[in-house]
Parts: sequence; structure tokens; C-alpha cells
Amino acid sequence: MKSVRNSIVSICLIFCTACTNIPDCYTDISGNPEIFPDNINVTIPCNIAPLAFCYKEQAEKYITSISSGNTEYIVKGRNVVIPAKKWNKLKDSSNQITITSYVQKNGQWNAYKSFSYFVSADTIDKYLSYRLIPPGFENFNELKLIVRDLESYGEREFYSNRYLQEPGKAQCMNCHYFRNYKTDQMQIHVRQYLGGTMLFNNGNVRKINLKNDSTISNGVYTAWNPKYDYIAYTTNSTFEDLHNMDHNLIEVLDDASQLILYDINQNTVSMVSSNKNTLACYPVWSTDGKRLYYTLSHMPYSGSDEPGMKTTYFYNHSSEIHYDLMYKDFDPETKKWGKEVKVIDAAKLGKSITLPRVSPDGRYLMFSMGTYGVFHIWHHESDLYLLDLETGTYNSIASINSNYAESYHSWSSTGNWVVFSTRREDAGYTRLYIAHHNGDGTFDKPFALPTKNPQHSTFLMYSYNIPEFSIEDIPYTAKELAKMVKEMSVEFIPYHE
Amino acid sequence: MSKVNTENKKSNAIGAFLEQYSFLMGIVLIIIAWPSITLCLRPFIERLGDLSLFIYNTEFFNQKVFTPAGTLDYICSFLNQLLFTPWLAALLLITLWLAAYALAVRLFELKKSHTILALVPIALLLCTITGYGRNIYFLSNQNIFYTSTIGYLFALCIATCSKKCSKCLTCKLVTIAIAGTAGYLIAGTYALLGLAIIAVMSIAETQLSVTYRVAATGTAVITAAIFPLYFCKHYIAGIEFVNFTTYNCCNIVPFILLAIYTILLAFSKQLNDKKTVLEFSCAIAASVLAIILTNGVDRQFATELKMFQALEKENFEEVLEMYDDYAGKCISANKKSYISLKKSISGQKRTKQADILSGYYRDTYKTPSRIMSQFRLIALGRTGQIGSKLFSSMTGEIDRSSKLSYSTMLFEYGPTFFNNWGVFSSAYVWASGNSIHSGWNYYNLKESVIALMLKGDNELAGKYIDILCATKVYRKWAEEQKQYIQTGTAATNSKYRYMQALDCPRENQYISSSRDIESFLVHHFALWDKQPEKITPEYAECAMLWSIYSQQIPEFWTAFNKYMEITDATHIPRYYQEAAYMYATLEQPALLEIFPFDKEIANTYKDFDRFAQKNRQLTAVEMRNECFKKFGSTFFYFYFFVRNFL
Repeated sequence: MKSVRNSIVSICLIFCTACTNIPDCYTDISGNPEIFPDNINVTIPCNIAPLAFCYKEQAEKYITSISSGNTEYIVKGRNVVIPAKKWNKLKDSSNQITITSYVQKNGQWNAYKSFSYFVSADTIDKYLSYRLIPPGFENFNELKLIVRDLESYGEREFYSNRYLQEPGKAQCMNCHYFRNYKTDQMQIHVRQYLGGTMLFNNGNVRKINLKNDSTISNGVYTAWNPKYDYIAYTTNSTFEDLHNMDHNLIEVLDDASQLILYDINQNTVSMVSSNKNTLACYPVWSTDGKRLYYTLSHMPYSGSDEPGMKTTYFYNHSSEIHYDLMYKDFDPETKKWGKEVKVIDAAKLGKSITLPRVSPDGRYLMFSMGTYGVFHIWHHESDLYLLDLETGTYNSIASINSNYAESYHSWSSTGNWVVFSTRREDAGYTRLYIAHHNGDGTFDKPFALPTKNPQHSTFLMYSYNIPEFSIEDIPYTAKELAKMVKEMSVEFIPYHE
Repeated sequence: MSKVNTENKKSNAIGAFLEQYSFLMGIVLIIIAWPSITLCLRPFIERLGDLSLFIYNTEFFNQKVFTPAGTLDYICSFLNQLLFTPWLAALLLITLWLAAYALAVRLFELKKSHTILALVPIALLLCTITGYGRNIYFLSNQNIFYTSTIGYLFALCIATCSKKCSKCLTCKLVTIAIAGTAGYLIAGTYALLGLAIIAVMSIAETQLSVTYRVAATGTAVITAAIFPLYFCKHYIAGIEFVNFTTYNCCNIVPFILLAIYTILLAFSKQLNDKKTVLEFSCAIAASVLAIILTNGVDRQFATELKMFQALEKENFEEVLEMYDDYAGKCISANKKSYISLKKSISGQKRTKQADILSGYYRDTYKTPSRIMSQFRLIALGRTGQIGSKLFSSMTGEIDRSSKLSYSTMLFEYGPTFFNNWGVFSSAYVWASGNSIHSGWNYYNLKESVIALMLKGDNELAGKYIDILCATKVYRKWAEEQKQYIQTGTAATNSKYRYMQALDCPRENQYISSSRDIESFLVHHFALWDKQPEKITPEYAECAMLWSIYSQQIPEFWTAFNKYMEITDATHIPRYYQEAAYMYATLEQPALLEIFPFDKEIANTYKDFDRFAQKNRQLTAVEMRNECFKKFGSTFFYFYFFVRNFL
């Protein structure tokens, strides 16, 4: 009786293990398998959520062996999803997780060349915030601001316009910004219905508007000084239109923009750069808070002031709009500005620079560069570049760039990781990829933002927008923020010369 | 006395008939509706199918289910796959109606003679589907075919569950609370209807104690009031209203009537037998009135749907026939109304008459819609008949409705129009833009694939192909497109070949979407100075069409010269000749000697000119009307009387 029972148990065990065993007979294939997303030989943080992928090719069966040190985990099926506990075990076992793929086609097993996830000892900031927006032309409906826990797949909506939007009263929101990666000092722009800039400053919440007779609009692109109580903004008059033949479907341009400074303590706004023949954009502070980098384009216009004429002129000359990288030194005590200095003359190269961001150690400045214009996510040719602020040299970051747009980017608080927007997956929807910075200006191959379902990206009909790291969670729920937006009245900030 | 007796006898006979056959009549009427719905609503059902989407993956499930009424939405999205087989979709709908009819009779314990009253909600359910009309394009969710029926059934089920727990008060209260809260998450506002039925039935249960009735009613009301408000901040879930800002209207009437009537049915036990016939008559009259008021028997909308289906199947002659038929009916109607209008204003001053007639042409003149005209022009282009048939079905005026920047027709068929005119960027922008308002659906995905594939954006086309491959309905079609991309053989498809022929390489330009489509196409093909250097014969034909519509003489000659250069036409089509002849007569008479115009063209123009000279004493409107009778199908009439078209 006992022996019969043991035999049955053994048979069951054999059966179970046979189902997930690596095949005994297979043919070695020299290349890596085609997987989506392409996370082959990427470097990952030690505290990241599990990376999942799926096989692109059609086959009868798939077996994936994932091993690290003495730990092995076998996955059956086209989608390779690793449970969190197993994943942590794999990461803890060694600093290299090896993946070997076995694929059965026409009854024959093939084994692809193994690839790896290199586990870096550098941790990544726990939180990443971004906006989800459908990549439409002018239209928008539901927009959401999401905070994601990078150590798991957890996502939480911390604001959505659906709470307050009504028929005939549309609301947009964007440009969430965290000072020094913390959420006790942060801001969000809310536009149109119940619009204003929500400024959260150590428990004090205000809804401000920097628009006055001297400024074109409320503040748009934001740079909160890391050391002093100032926030630099641009004000922009932005418009967009559609290409009929160009591969880049949509063009977003400014026909006017200024650089302003908001003094939080004095509660005044002053002009940094305003010239009807120039367009200033994308401010960013150096780590010591005494230098403001920004982009600037010289676009003289002497035509008619009739409505629409300037916009038409800019459209007709859009390929001539080139932004250079500039800086001005700033004395925080006297609020005086130094001379405007050109760092990179992109116009001379026939290029245009956008989105400069300084690394937390102050050594590097990453920027996006395309052939013209100010809004590069719609430019297939735009790539990320790294400027060494000590040597003054800059290079395209080949290990990060793809054949499609790379644009908005953000450094982690330690400077070891960079998250950036890219349209590499399908040329139309913006996705987030994360790359490891080796500390010397070089980057490892980036990996896609982990999702539990590897095909999430295919079926997600939103683009990711403005990814920003933070080391803290947003301390408000979406309903709380909506209540603040609704109930707080706007405070117009006076202009001061 | 005998008259009273006869009437009493009649009333008793009707009462006896109803008592015996009322329920059966209801069933028969519902079953009869099946072929009617299949035949009459076929294009509407197929269009609804195209405006829906069901994807077989967890992402789609998660997106749908975890919102109030999400489960109902998910189930209806799944069932919408049947809409591509209209008879089957209608069969399921009829089956659900029969279930709802039987359940209502059982739940409300309708007397045998009163069972026909349960038919009224069914009629109202039909109105909830058909009453939207063309507003279906402005809904954020087009799952309207099954939603109200299944929702209504769900409401009846909640009430039935509650009724079954009538013996134990605690059980009943718990059932009500759970059914209400879970029900709201599953079926949204329909669960609130179920709670309303429970509340009313509890009040109407006179044989139960007051405490029981108050507790049951109170629980139902409190659950209905508090749960949606506290957790979801709104009470409307699972019912679609139009929310596009400019066209802010909704189809709420049938839903309100459905709710009111169903709640009234809960009082059915109080109905007096003697008034059966009167109640029956009122019920039927009310439902007929509801159908008439809310159904939107919109022939124009129905014709557009049929024309679209024919265009999709590439039955171009059918498209043209439908247009001609509709235009013919407009002409007859206009003739009659013009005559009667003239009669009614005959005593007034001439200037006053002229004003009234101008208003008539502007406001009440019947004409095929701009959507129909677009379908017709596309069909003419595909069959190479632009030049020979362009004005052959003129009604004397062009539909001038809704000339807004985001016009309704672009919400309805924008991607189709732009794809068929070879303007792929605009087609994709409209498909993706429309999806922001109404969600992605088979139609927007399909048109996006076509636009992007023909534009050469294969990667992005691939994303939408992958999504369609995850559906049952469009998987095969998506696989075919994938083949086209992989093998580069899209041009083997005649429709794509034509579309690509219109996409002649040209200098890049910014093309704002703020124009209405006619202005856009006129600019695109005729008025912009940066026309393609090398054009195809198909493009040349379209340039002729839109230059004629532009009514601009220099642009016409540019297009005409290019047309003559490109095509080997041995005979210039009629309408090109008419335009050339007239323009030559007006500005370049020397050309009249050079071009080989048909004698008929010259004679027609001379007749037209003579007519105009002879009737100079008529007012502009009278001249127009008289001229239309003789020259309505000529370019000359179009040029002089259909002005300010753009």
C-alpha cells in the first residue's frame, strides 16, 4: 500500500517537473531571441520591480530559464513574468541574472544565446511621477498624473482632470515638479478651468498666477532653485499644427516666450529675459543655485501685429527656429543677473537644443537636440546628448538613442539613473526607459519601465509625459488635490522690475 | 339601453380576449420586432458594431470593469461583436426582451389582462437604442445596443431577489444593501432603478407591517442615495449621454420614461380591472408617442449609413443610386413646398416675397447632406465619373449646415473622407482625435492602420494592427494588412492604390484642422500654391473637381491644363467642358475657337444666357427657381446660383 502510494507520488512529481524542465534536446542558435520590450543585456537597479517580457516570434512552446547564482526559476509560455519573491531572490543571489530561452517550432526545440540583466548596486529613487496623455492633436479629454512605485508595479493617480472637468469647461494639467526630489516642495500647473499654479511649500499650499501686464502667460516650464527660494519659469505663447507630408506629424512652436523669476519670499515676479526677437525656454538651475541654464532662439519678427500673422510667419519659417544653450549667473542676495553666455551654438550646427537638465553632482548637463523647433517629442530625429560642464565637450549618447524621438529626461537623486521619454517602440506613443549612468558620462543600455504585463505598452493608448523622480510619495490623494484646486482662489503675483 | 348593453358586451369581449391572450400578444409583438429590427436597422447596427471594441486581454478587462457600471460595459462590449451579424444581434436582443417581459410580468404580479403593459418598457428600450440618431458619434461609449436592455433586466433581477427575501426582514435589508452597492458597481444607474422598484414595491405591499415597509423602503433609498454619492460622486453610470461641448444634448427622455413607467408598474396591483381597455390604450399610445418623439426617424441619417456601408464594400454605383434617389425626393419635396409657399405669399409686396423666398432657400430647402455629397464625390472619383456626372443630381443648393471648425461630419466620417482623398496625416489625426472623445473602436483603429500604412509609418500602423489582431472581429483583416506591410504590396489592393495615387509628393505644408473639409479639399487640391510637381491622373481629376467647386477661374485653368497634360482624354467630360466654355466666354473668348467644345455645350450655354436675359425682370429667387427647372444639372447654374459655397 505504502509503496503504491509512493509510486503515485513519484509519478506525479516526475510529471510536474517534466512539464517545466528544460528540454533535453535542442539546437543552439547564435543570436538572442526577439523579445518585447528589448531588455537584452540591460543594467537594472537592485531595487527595481521585476522585468517582464514576451517573445515576438510565434512558436508552439516557450520555456525560459532565469538563473542567478544558485537560484533558478523556469517560466513556461510566451509571456515571461517573474513573481516578486522569486525576482528578489534572483537579484540577491548575484549581480547577474541570466536568461536562456528555449522555443519549440515544428516539434524542434531551439535554444537562443543567453542574455543578462546586470544588477547594479546603485539604487533608484523609489517614486516616478508622470502624466498620461493621449497623443492627440489639440484635443484632450481625461488626463492623469500618476505616481509609480518603481520597486513594485504599484501606480496611484494623484490628480486627474475628470474630478473637475465639465462639459464646456475643459481642464489641463502638467509640469509637476519636485524640488530636490522631495514632495514637501512641489508644484503642478492647472490650466483653463479653475487654472493656476498649485505651489506646495513645506505644508503651505497656494494657488498662484504669474500672469500680469508684463508677462505673456502664467508660468509654464519650471525650475525651482535647489538652494534658494526662487523659481524660474518661462511664459509661452504656444501653438501647434499638422504637417501634411513631413514624417513628424505635428509641430508645436512658440511665437513668444520669456524667462521670469518668482521670488517666493518677496512674493514678486521679475523678468529675466524678454525680447520680442528671442524665444527663451526650458530653464534649469545649476546645483549651487547660482547659474540658470536655458535655451534661447533668435527669431526676429518685423511683420504685422494682426492676430495670426506672427503665428503664420513662424510656421512658414519653423525650420529656421534653432535654440542655443545659454546661461546667466545669478546672485541670490542681490537678485542680479550676469551676462547671457552661449554654451552651445546649436543654430550654427543647424540644430536646436531643448530640455537641459543638470546632473545632481553638477558635472554633466543632458539635453535633447533635434534639427529645429522647441518640442522634440514630435521630432523623430531628436536625440539625447551629454555635455561635460567641466571640459565643455558634448556627445550624443549612442547607448541611449534610437531611430526615433528621445526627449524629456530626468536624473535620479543620486545621478546614477536617468529616465527619458522615447518613441522607439512604435514611433507614435511615448514610453519611458531608464538607463544607468556609470558616473563617467557613459550609459548602459536602457530598459523599459517595468510592467506586469509585457504587452501593456502595446495596448496602452496613452503616452507617458514629464517623468520625474522623487524620493517621497506625493502626500495627497487625487480627491484632496482636486478639492484644493477647486476651492482655492487664485493669487495673482505682482510684477517687480 | 341596448346601446349601453352592446358597449358593455364589447368591453367584456375585449376584456376576455385580453385576459386570455394578453401575454401571448406581448410575446408575438416582440418576436415580430426581430425581422423589423434586422431589416430596418441593419446599417445602424453594423455601424454601431464598427464603433465598438472588444479585446481579448486582461488590460481591456481591467480598463473596463473597475469603474461603476464597468461589468455591464464589459459584457455589452463582448456582445457587440454580434453586431457584425445583424440578424443574430437582433435575435439576442429579442431574447433579452422576452426575458425582461416575462420577468416584469412575474415580478409585478401583473394580472393576465394587464400583462401587455409590460410591453411598454420594451418599446422604451427600443427607443433608448434608436433615439440617439447621429448623436452616437458624440458618446464617450457607443455600447448602446444592449446596455439598456441588460441594465433593465438587472434592475428587475435585483428587485426579484429582494422580493424572494420577503419573509425575513433582516435578510431583505441585507439583500437590498448588498444588491444596491454591488449592483451599482456592476450596472450603475440601472441598479438604482432596481432599488427604486424595491422601494415602491415595499410601499405597495399593504399586507406587510408598516415597520417592514418603512425599513425596506428606507434601506433602498439610503443605499441608492449614499453609496454612489460617497464612493463615486455621481449617479449616472452605464447610461450614455452626449458630452461633446458644442453639441451638448442627450437622449435622456426614453430613460426617464422607462424609469417612471417601470416604477408605476410596481403599483400594478392597485390597477382597477374595469379600466383595463383604457389603460391598455393609454399604454400603447404612450409608447408609440415615445417612439415617435425620441426615435429620430431620420431618413438622412439612415441614408448616410447605407451609403457608407456601400462605400466600404466598394459598391460605388449603389452609392450613386442612393444619392440620386434621395436627391430626387428632395427635388419633389422642394417643388411642392415652393409652390405652396408662393401661393401663400402671393398677396404680399414683391420685396417681401423675395425675402421670404430667400429665407426658404436658406433655411428649409431640402438637399442631400454634406456627408452624402462627400460619399458621392468619392464614388464618382473611384468610378472616373467626376467629369460626366458631377452636377447631374443637383437639388439646386448645397447643404450649408454645421460649418463649424470641428464639424459633425468629421466626427462621423472624418478618417474615411481624408483617407479616400489621400490626406493620410489628417485621417490619422481625426481617427486618434475622435478616439479621445469616444474611445478607440474598430473604425478608428482600422482607419488609422490604413492612413499610417499608406503614409509609410509602418511601426505605428503595426501597433494598431497588433491591437486588432487581439480582436476576433478584425483579426483576419489585420493579418492581411500586416502582410501588405511586410511584403510592401499595399498597392495590389485597388482601394489603397487609388488612395496612394492621390497622395502625390509635394512640399511639406502645415495643414490646420480648423477648416471644414470642403474648404480644406479645395485648398489641398486647387488653391494652394505648393501643388505637387508630378501628379497622377487620379489627382488631376480631383484637382478638376475641387477647382470647379472653388469657383475660382485661374485655379480652374491651372487644374485644366494639368488635366489635359496628364490624361489622354480623347473627349473632355461634360462638366469640364462647361466650366471651360463659360470661363472662356467670360474672360478669354479666343479660347472658344481653339478648344474642341461639343456643340451641345455651346448651345446649352447660349440657351442659359438667353434665358437669363429674357427673364431679367424676375427676382433673384424666382430666377433661381425657374433656372433650376431647365439648367439645374449644369455647371452654369452651380456657378451663378450656388455661391459662397466655402
